[in-house]
Amino acid sequence: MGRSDSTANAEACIGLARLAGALSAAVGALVLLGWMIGERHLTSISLAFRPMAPHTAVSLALSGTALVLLATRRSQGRRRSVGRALAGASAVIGGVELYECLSARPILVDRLLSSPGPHLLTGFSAVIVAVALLSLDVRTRRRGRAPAQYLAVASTIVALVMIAGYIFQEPTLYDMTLPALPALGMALPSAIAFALLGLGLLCARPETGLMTVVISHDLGGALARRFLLAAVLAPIAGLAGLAGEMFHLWEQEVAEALLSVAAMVVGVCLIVTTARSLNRLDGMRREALEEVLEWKEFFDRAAWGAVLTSTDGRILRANAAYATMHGYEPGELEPLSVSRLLPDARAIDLPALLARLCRVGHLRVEIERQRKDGTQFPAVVDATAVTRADGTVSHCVAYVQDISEQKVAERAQARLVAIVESSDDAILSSDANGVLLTANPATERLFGYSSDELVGRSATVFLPPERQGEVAAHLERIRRGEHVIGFETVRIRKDGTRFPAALTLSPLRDRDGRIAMVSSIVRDISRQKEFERQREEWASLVAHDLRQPLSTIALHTQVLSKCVGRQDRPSTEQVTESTQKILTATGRLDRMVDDLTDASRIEANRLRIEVRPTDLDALLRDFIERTAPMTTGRPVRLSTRGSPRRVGVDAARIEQVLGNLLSNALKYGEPGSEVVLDVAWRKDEVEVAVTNHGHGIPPEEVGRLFSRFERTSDARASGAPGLGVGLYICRGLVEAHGGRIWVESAAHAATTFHFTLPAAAVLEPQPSASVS
Amino acid sequence: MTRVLLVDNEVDSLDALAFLVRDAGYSVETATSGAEAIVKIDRQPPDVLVTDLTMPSMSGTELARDVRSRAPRARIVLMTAYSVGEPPSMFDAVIRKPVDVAGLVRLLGRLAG
Repeated sequence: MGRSDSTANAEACIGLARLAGALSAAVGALVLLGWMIGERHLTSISLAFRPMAPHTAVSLALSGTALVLLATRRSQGRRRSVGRALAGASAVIGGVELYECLSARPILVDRLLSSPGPHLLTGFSAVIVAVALLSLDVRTRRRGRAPAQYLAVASTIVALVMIAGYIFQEPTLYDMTLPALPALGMALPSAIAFALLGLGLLCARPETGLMTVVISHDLGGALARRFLLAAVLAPIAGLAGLAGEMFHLWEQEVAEALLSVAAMVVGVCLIVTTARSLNRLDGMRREALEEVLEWKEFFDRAAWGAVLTSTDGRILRANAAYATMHGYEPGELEPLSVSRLLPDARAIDLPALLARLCRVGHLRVEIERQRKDGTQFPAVVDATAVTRADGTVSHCVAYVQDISEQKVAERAQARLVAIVESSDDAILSSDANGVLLTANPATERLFGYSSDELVGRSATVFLPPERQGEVAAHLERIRRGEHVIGFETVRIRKDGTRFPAALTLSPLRDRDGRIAMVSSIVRDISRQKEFERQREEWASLVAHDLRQPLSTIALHTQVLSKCVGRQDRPSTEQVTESTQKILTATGRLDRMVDDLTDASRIEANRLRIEVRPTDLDALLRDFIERTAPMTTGRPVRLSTRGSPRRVGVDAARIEQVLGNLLSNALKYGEPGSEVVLDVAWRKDEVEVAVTNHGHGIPPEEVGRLFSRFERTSDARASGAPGLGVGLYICRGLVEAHGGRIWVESAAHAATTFHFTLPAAAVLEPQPSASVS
Repeated sequence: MTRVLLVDNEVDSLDALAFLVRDAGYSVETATSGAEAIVKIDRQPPDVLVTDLTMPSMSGTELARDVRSRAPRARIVLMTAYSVGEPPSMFDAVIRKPVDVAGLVRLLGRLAG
């Protein structure tokens, strides 16, 4: 809009220039006519003033015509050549006049018409105007200024001085004479014509130099045009006053009074119209400012962070939310670079990101941000490049949203999903009618159906034919809002195999509290059931083993009762033997009960040991000596390496472990083979190894050896009495001391049971500690 | 006199049982393993064999199966501390440990008669 405004202004200016050229040419022509017909009023307007010289009239006619021809936006071709030729001719005439002034010789035409002699300022003005016409399109190299306009201003000022002299009837101005110089003055028509030509010249090239201000659509341009109009009107009004005097319409005093009134009116008009324009502009400025303030308020109070940056990432403006989310005070960020708000300049290439933004115009990235205190938070950044009219990017705008909460929720969700996904139990959801909606990966492992196969099917797919009614019964309970917890049943896999299962069902309610879904957890309880079976089997074994000594006691008691009263030798011998066997059986029963008690304490983690400083080496020697009667025919050899010292152990419990391992070694070793007790003392532990040579233990049984209820196949087949808890107790006792127990065995070769005890030197007797 | 062979690897109770059955008027022999029992059966087949179930190297069931071919006329009684429902078919009777001696003697009388 502004552009077309100034173009219109330029067109108007050029029109004025042509008008001025035409008027000045007309003045020249009229004066010439006046000289030809001898009419003085045409040559000097008033007989009181000097006339315009005929050569000046010719010069003005030429210059005026030249201006009409040259005042175009693009002067070219013939029109330009003719214009310049006319201007050149005018320059020659002006030059001749200047020469005559200096040599005091009137030119031919003037002599013929008996006109006044040459005038210096007239010649000077004629030359200047002509030169200005010729140099209309000349521009200074450095600043592109138009010298023609300065020449035009100079000639206009000279002409206006003359006009002012005429208006105020001051001959010293318009008819100046100086000693040793020819006449300086200028005729009134000449002054008017030169003033018009000067203004015309300025208007001829409005888009360059001084005139750009005048035609601009800015406030300055508008003011300039108004004041220039006033400046042009002032001499016209003055001339009008002068004309009134000349035609005796009013006296000079009246004219001056009228002039000053006219000047005041014009001044007041100017002030009023300018003030009105300024007010309108000020209103627009205020409205614009209010709008800007509203936007600023919106920007500053926004909940999301907003930032304006330069294309190299410098923060030009950031709103309060942006500063706060990064831990800064509002206003603190402005000189900083966005890179300060990113955790690691190496990880995020900010210049590359900005370059991409400038290239594509808009970016949305999820990026980690860093607060002032160094902590970080995830954010979504929505950035836009703002472009100028020429398409280059002036700056960048970005909206930043802290998505920590969203991330936390996502992580929590992911954790829940991970729990469901990683569970070993099948976790399913179905609608209130038992139609399956989701199934976790364990479902596939447990039942053999993929999740896709299950979704949309009825939960009855998992039920063996005889239990199909269970689903309906469970759904009925769920609809009543009840839970089904740990319901033991049987489920069927895709391949038709069955397994014992425990079922937990819960109603899932929607937002309105209605039961919309059912969550089902199906646990495979095969192992638990196997454990229960083992336990029952073990209980029956224990009962069997307990009955053996009981049987012995019962039978020998009956034998004793038969012998009561008999005095014969076989009977008395039988009494002694039976009594002895009853005692042995009682002892065995006692040990079994002790073992059962220990085993159940170990299982309940309530085994107590009494730790005291003990000479382990002496304990081992004493143990071998005492057990010698049990091991007849089976040599037991003790070998010791390292330096024995006192250790903190429960001596009775360690003897129990040794007894157990030794009796195993004797029980399962080859008859007559040697049993070796190897003791290795090391810096912080002592290792005891009991080795026998026999069948060995199959590798698949080694792992289970120390578990409860386990007896090796060998032990079971042997019928050797044993509750299968001996090694379980050994492990419990050794671990209660802080040691380890393990076995190394090869089939049909040596079997070695190792155990270690912590062997830090014990100097002071320690209070008894209990280890559970 | 009815000959009874008692087989049990639990020597302590075997001795007492032998004493008591002998005292009830039977001719009693003992063996502490299946192998020993077979040797004795081959020498002189018993009228009644009373055997324990769980024994090292040869179980009572295996022994009974063997005896059925060696001494078809011998009656076989299973003696066990396990709770057993119906006795396997090769046994004529089952008695529970601890053994009720009076019951065993009545059983022997019935089987021998």
